[in-house]
Amino acid sequence: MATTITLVYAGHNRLRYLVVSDDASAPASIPSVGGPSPDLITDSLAGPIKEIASVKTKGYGVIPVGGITTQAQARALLLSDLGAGPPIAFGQEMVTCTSRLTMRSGGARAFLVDAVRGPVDLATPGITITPLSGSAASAYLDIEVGGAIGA
Amino acid sequence: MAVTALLVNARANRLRYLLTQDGNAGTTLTITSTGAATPDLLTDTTNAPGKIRTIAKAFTDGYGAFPAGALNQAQARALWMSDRIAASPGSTEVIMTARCEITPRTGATAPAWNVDANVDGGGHPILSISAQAGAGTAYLDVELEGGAIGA
Repeated sequence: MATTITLVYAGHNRLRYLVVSDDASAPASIPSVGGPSPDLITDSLAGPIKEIASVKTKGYGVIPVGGITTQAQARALLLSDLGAGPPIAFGQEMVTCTSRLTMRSGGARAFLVDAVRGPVDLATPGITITPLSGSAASAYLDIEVGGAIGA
Repeated sequence: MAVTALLVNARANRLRYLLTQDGNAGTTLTITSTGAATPDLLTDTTNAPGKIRTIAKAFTDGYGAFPAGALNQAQARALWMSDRIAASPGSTEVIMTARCEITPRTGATAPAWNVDANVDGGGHPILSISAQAGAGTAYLDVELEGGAIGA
């Protein structure tokens, strides 16, 4: 079985995916290019997640039209990791997402979550899921805007 | 030290740390709440005043029905893990509490991460992060339970 990612909930400020895998050699990704689901542009309703995913065509906060140029920017937008400094740093009043896993079945913490450039278009941010175990496991991945009214 | 924490995002209702396990033995990290050098819950909320900071000042100012002064582990878990089952005052006290959540980011042999709340010798709440020996990184979110507006 490859790693599959299936959208199970779409709100204006939160997307929930079911991640299922039993193959440690089969990482999977969620791009932001408007392709078939799973895709952050395709799957999101109107709101900050769609705005963040559309950074290449519309810009977002301090990131101009044209999109991202570093993995640090992808991590800032989709993991709320601002530790890399300018042009995204503490004090920038930009709404960003967090991406978190909750295991549903299988071994403890069987997946890694990271944000990357692409992987389809390097100017866009995406999420990668890396399974760690050859044993069957499943988890929910939440991509959300923390504390927003109306999940 | 085998496990370190870097503050990467500080909001009024949420702190995010990047945890790094370098793979060596000695796999426990303590996040204090005394105003010590970061990572410290008081120090790290200096520029993001909000409910997290209010909870971090429970020792000096009290919080709800929790009086100022030394706390015990059950009370620390009530405040920082939203586990109020064994604390006094317990779940009948209507106050906002925090919770901690870890999402692994990297590590081919990613360690299993654990987080718990306790107190130091003086009764100040601490967060204890432990990991099995194995190089990897993860995000720790310390946030208000219940999705406060403006995380």
